[in-house]
Amino acid sequence: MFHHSQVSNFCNSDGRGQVCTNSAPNGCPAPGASQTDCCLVCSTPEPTNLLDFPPYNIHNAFGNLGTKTMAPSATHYNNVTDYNAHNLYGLTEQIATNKALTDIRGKRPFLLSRSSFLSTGVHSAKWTGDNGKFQFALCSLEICVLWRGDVTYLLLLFSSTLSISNFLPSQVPPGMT
Amino acid sequence: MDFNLFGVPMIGADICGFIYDTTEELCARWIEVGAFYPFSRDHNTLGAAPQELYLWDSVTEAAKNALGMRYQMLPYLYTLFYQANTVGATVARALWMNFPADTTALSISSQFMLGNAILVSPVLTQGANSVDAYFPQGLWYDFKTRALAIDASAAGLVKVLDTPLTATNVHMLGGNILPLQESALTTTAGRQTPFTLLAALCPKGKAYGSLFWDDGEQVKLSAYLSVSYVAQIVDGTGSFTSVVSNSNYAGADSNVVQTITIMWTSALGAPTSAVLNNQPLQASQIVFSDDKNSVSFVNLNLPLTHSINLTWK
Repeated sequence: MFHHSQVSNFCNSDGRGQVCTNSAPNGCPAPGASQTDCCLVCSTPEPTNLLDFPPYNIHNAFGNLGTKTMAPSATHYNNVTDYNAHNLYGLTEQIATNKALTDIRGKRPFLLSRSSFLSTGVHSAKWTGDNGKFQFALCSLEICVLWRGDVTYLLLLFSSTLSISNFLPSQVPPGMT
Repeated sequence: MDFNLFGVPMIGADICGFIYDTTEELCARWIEVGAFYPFSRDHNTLGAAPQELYLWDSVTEAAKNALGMRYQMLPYLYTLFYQANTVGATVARALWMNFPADTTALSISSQFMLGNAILVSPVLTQGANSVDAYFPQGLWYDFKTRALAIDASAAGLVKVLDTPLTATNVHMLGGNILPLQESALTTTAGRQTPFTLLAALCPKGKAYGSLFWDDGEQVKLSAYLSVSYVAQIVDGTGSFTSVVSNSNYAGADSNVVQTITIMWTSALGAPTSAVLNNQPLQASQIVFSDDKNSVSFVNLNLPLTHSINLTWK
């Protein structure tokens, strides 16, 4: 959704400083409904879909690649597949959020994200927690606390080169092996 | 250190750890290094044991010690972030970035620097009470005690630093001047406290530094204070001067420089007289340290926006 050029206007066009007073898009819950309601069309990906089931698949302990996150075959604005834009999700989110906050408040915003990609340092702060190999390179203490041999999950992160795209796939629940 | 190279300078890990329960020792050691992350935050997950820094006496003491130093450094950190924003400089640096010709520094990943000036040498091993710290060539001063701690002016050296559970190792490299304020409970309160300009002289008796200061909120930068500082001792006469290159931020008008401290070797010598902007200082305003490594000029009450021309001998 953050690929749309007008996305930062979504929350600031009506009632400055208010949260999302626009009418809900098709398929989304009505205003006032639970924010956690799913407004996506969710279906089980077809095994023949090469984006959801690529030939050189990793063994994702959660299940298929789209489990607990966006499916690689999901499409963003302008029919861009998440397979091609996964790593840009956090960057585009930060650009849109920074612009919206700046427009609404007229002040320099402070954003904090766990997502990073080339140039995100311009738009947002970052906290490390599960940054794949870079946290390993630092061998900081957190790695020992956060990762308990969750190698499969780590490989998933490796596969996305530099970044984690959003919050959803990064939450390793307590007790994960 | 990596993410600063990637252009993401406002960076830090979850202090005390995220998944699983932390421990008293881990939390104490973590805040001692985490207080010097560019982004410094204690952060926990649901279901794990509480890890607020005040839950243990030892962690509370460690946090007050380390965060107290961080809050003093906030004007310096803010200036580093300004430089990161404008010229792509790094805030947290691996040693090799400041000492690219030092082959020992190339492989060190257990210490880091903030800008050119501050070296952090944390305890990273469970049960350890000392750090084998590497000091590249130069004079290194203890940030907390303001004493000359390591004379590595001939060559870089390894020093074993005793580091009890509530202590950490923060050193300042000679050749730098830091703009400091006092620690406070909030950054808003800290911004109102008097400034100290802390000069650590290099072996040749010189130091440089700068300050960038604004309201922290304006979107298009227009009102700000920009000052550069130089301290040096030439033929026994010391001087500390500043050049104000931009000063149209009204919010800085209420800030004052109360103290200027010069740290050097015992060659510093006890000053007998000092003149600040053509006005002689009183003898009570000149404080020579017992260890003969530093002299402080106190109760200056000088507006932060004014240029400084301080000489002593």
